[in-house]
Amino acid sequence: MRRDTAIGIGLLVLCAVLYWQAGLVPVPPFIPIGPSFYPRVMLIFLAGLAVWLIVEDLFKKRSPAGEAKKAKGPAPNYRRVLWGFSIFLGYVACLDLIGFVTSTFLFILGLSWAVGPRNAREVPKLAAVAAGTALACYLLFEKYLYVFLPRGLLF
Amino acid sequence: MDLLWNTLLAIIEPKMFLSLCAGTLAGIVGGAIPGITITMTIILTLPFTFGMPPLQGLATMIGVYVGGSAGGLISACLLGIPGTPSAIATTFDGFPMARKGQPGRSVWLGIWASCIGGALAGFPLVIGAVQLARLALDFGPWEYFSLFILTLSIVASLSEQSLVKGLISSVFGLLVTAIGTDPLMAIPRLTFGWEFLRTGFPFLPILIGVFGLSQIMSDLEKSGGTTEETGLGKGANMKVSHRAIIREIFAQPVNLIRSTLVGLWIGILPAVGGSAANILAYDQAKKGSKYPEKFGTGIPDGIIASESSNNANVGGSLITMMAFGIPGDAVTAVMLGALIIHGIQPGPLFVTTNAPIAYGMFAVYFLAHPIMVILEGWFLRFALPVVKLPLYILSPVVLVLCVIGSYALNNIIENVWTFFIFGTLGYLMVKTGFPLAPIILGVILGDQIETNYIRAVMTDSDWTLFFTRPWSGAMLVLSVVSFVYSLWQRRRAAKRAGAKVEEVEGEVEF
Repeated sequence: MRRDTAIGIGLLVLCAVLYWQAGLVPVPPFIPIGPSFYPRVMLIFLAGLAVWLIVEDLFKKRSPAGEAKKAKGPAPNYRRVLWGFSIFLGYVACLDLIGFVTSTFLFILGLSWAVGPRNAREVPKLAAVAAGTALACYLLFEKYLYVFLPRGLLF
Repeated sequence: MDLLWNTLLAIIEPKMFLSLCAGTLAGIVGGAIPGITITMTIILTLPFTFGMPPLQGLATMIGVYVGGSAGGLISACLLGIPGTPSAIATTFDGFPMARKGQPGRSVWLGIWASCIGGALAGFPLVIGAVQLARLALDFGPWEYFSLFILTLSIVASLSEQSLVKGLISSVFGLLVTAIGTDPLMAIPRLTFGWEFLRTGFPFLPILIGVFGLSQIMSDLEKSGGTTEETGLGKGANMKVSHRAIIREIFAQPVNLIRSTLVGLWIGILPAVGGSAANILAYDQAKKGSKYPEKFGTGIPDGIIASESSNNANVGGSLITMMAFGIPGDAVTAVMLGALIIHGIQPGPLFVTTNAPIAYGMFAVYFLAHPIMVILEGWFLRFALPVVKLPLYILSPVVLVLCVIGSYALNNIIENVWTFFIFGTLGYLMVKTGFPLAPIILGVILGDQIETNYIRAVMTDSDWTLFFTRPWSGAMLVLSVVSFVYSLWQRRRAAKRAGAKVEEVEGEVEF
């Protein structure tokens, strides 16, 4: 299946689910327009646009010159992106569990190692950056700006 | 005028002045580092402004905006890599000039052109914002509803990618605001009974996620992470005669004024931004030049056009934000969010009810330009090592600051999850060719569109008023025109591309 067609179908499913969900909202008396009116109008628009996207995609001509042009550029490194998202997800999940300073130190060290050149000689430098950033953020935000950063089991 | 002068004096007060300088320097550094956009820099400074009085926070942010718009030229001229999208066209002539052995001339032409272009745009900012706000005072809910529809249609139409994707992005943004309690009766909707969704998604973590996380992940895709060698050498001479540089800029009055006007106009149009302004101004300068063939070889005309337009763009964006409460681009969207956090609603009443803040913003804008020149000159001494920081060190640190920015909004971890969810969505949108600006504008305007529509219908149930009230009708007609024009333009471009493809295919077969 073509990519835009798949996105269009996904959007149609989303619209159907949300339209049903909007129908569960109670309608208050004496108000000409209930709370479900606006989301439903938006959902109808979105569904119409999703159909447009599908139709446009189905009738779109594939340009061989364009494909060739695309292939010329450097290949994106999705492994780095996957590392980026995974480590960041772990970081967000750990913030409340082990606290801001520890999780920030581990996050910066982990991500810079994962997406960097992975040279053992770089580790002290990366650890210094991680520790420096975590402590600087803690001191600046907690002690100076009074933003109480997440506390966990550690620090 | 007296109010402007008085606020200018108030801004020289140490705390305020220091914030403005710090913001400008942060903007210059952020703008100079490739991969860190002005939006990202302003997002990073946002948590620092929460504890400040409104004008001090805005002074910091305007400093970032002005500094960032000019900071991108450093790496554009010295490395050949634009520090921000606003400096793309600066690279075309700035880098060749630097490689010819004139890095100082190249950078300082950019700095002074930014300062002059930005300062010139300050006058329409003061006059335009006040006059447009007066006009907007006559607007009822019908006009506001139509204005927001017009804004959305312009943004969706101007998006570089497909029109339908721009529209989907806008409507999706509008839909996001429908999640949570409705603005009139506070009845929860589309929450699936989930407490996390009951209050809806806060705007700032969405903005930080959509622009911040998606930008970093897109950067991580590109292998390497270190910048290329410049070929300038360590002892590159940055010394210049400032008088000669300024004379050189004023020797091109038509180029300077035209580029400033292009930047200003692009800034006034919602969500187009400096990235379009500098390229359009460069293009206009080339078309209007007696020697267009010399563009791209390192001539001052290209640098002056690009840099004066991107700083004038700042003035234009502020006009739209201050007069209508509509962000001109992502940077003013963050400023708008910051104002709302401080309990100030930008819009037509903003200039009259919050005159000290509004005129303070004008004064800060003017003052930020000479400060930018001084600080950028100082930063140039150690610019090269800073702009060459590897991405694998920079990106985790930036992400941590984005997390703090989202969290500090009201000290809850749910905001960080919102940042993550919308950051992931933003990245997927970039990968599938959906523009990001319309979704943000949709999120900003969603509540306003709904509230004004309901107000209009509750005031008078006659729906034809949307079309028969002159301003409202005109804006709705303009929305349709903008939509149809965009459709026609894209069809024409597609036809031309199709003809080219046929030619290529023909050549292959032949």
